[in-house]
Amino acid sequence: MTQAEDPKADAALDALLSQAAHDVEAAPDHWVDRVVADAAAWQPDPAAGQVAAPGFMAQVADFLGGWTGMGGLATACAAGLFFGLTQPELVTPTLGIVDAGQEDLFDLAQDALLPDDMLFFEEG
Amino acid sequence: MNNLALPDDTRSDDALLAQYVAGDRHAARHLTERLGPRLISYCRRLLGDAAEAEDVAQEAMLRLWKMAPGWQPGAAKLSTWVFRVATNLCTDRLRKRRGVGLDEIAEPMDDRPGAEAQLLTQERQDALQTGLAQLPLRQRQAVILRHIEGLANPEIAAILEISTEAVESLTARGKRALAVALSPRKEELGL
Repeated sequence: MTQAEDPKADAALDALLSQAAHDVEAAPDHWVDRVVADAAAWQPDPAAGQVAAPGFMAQVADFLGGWTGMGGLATACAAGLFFGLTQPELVTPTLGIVDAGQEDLFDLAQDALLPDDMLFFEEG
Repeated sequence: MNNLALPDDTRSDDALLAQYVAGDRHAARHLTERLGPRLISYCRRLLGDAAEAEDVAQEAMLRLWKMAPGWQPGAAKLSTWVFRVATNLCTDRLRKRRGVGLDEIAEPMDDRPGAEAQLLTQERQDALQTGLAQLPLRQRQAVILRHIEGLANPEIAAILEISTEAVESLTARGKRALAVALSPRKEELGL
């Protein structure tokens, strides 16, 4: 029988370990003071360190690209509602203006081009 | 693990840490007095030096204060986290100390008045410390955590970052090796 398999020795070792388990002293005062000083040095300042959590609308605005993005989205929604609810005959003049606007833009572009460029366009 | 906190202090470790983060200065002292004794004892058993054990235990607590604002209550056990940090710090110290003979490692001091029975008890504990110091580091850690700190295998596994099966194997082999290490002094120590 080896030492490790001796039940008597095993029981004695258990008793020794058990004694060690109970042999725990309070932490020395000087050690506690040092640790508490560390804790004070690293303690967060609730007044300075905490930032209030953003509200629900602010989180939504942030998700959609900030308040500028929210403004654009509102404009697009209003335009969509306008075109959706307006009668077609009321919209036609608007489209006419758009068409006229496109012709005006074409005339402006013609003025801006050099004569050689215009020749190229006319020859195809 | 034995709870050495004040008897009327029923707040959990997590609650104390949360109160510390919220600005309660007394919470840090309560937590220090609760965790300190076992932490120092564990480090002293691993390192065999009281002053060095206090330094390491203080460093482990310092890391606790630093990470306190980010602590997730319930994600892990606070004492397990601190013991894991202390284990790693002790391991680093022992690796740096490599080459120092076992005889050069100081044994725990005891300046209490010595009746004969107390002396015998102290001799036994010194022998235990010497025996523990002869074990391979992982076996030593596992034996101390299991048989002296009284932790359960899953918690030891979390501290040592190994499986519970590995903990069982380490503690069994460690205890056998400890018995062998103490056998030459069996009669002398009344074992």
